[in-house]
Amino acid sequence: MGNSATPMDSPLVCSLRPAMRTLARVPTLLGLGVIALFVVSAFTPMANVLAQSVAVHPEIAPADAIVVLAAGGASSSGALSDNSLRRAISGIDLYLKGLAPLLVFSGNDPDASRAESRIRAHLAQEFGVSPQRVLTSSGANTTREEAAQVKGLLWPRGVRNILLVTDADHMIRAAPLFTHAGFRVFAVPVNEPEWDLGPGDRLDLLRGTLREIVALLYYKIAGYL
Amino acid sequence: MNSATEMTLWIVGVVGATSLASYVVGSRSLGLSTTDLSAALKRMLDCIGTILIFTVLNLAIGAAAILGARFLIGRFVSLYFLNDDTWVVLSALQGLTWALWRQAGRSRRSISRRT
Repeated sequence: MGNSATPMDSPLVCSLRPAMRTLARVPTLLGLGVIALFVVSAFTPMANVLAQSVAVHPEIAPADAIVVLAAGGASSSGALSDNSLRRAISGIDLYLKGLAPLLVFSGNDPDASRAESRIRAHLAQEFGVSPQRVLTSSGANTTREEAAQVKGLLWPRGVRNILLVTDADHMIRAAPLFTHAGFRVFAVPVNEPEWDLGPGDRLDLLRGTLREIVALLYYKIAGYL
Repeated sequence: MNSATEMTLWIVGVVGATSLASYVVGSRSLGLSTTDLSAALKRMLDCIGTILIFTVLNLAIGAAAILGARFLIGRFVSLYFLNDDTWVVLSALQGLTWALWRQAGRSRRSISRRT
């Protein structure tokens, strides 16, 4: 039935028919793959295993400076994003523990009310960090530009060893970039993934990990690493 | 039992129960055939696969456009724009429409061949 050619069919159409039929099956096979991947990602610890295998492990040690990377900026009312606040608090905590004499806040500062780096610096002062010990860096669009700017800020001060503070998934890309910029990096990943995750959180973890793996590959292909 | 395992069991339990209930309602009350169910599952997989194709296509073109804007025009556009859930939702609408369109065409052809 399916193979029967109508009188209208040319020899070319007839010869292409098996290939077209195989091609028509591709979406079904892809759909099956998506369902299988979804089940494995959501209901098994596969996302955790992948995140763990590419994770940069924490290495907390005394350094010359603490560098807290930007994260999503601030709202128009001046409120930091959750990630930005978490990273800033982690950096302040490291400073208050005496792990480095200098605290650097990178930030996305589109205007005065949304100046992430300055809002973070102000927050650090609220926690008792001396303004002389806080530096800010803004205007970088990418993590690579952040590394270059921080280098420009800290290199003249003789800073070579840094405690780098960012999210666990972002650290996969950030640590090699700052190492490539010439720093000795002690990684301080915040919000490391838990093993005890629900299905939705596992999918988020997988997405974040895959995004950073793709970004890392792009950086390597582009010659940034 | 930890909360994540408990959550997983709740989700699987509720979805499993509603799937079973809808199968019973469909086959017994509405008289739907089991053969049609396997055809429906195949069509569902076809729709999901098409959604994946549209998602990958949209993200690839989006990434190329962003990199093009960066390197050709010199305007910075963040690759994080590709991280928005809207891409998947809109790609799903595109993929569903395309797959259902194709399936409708196939059904029409098979009806006209039979008559």
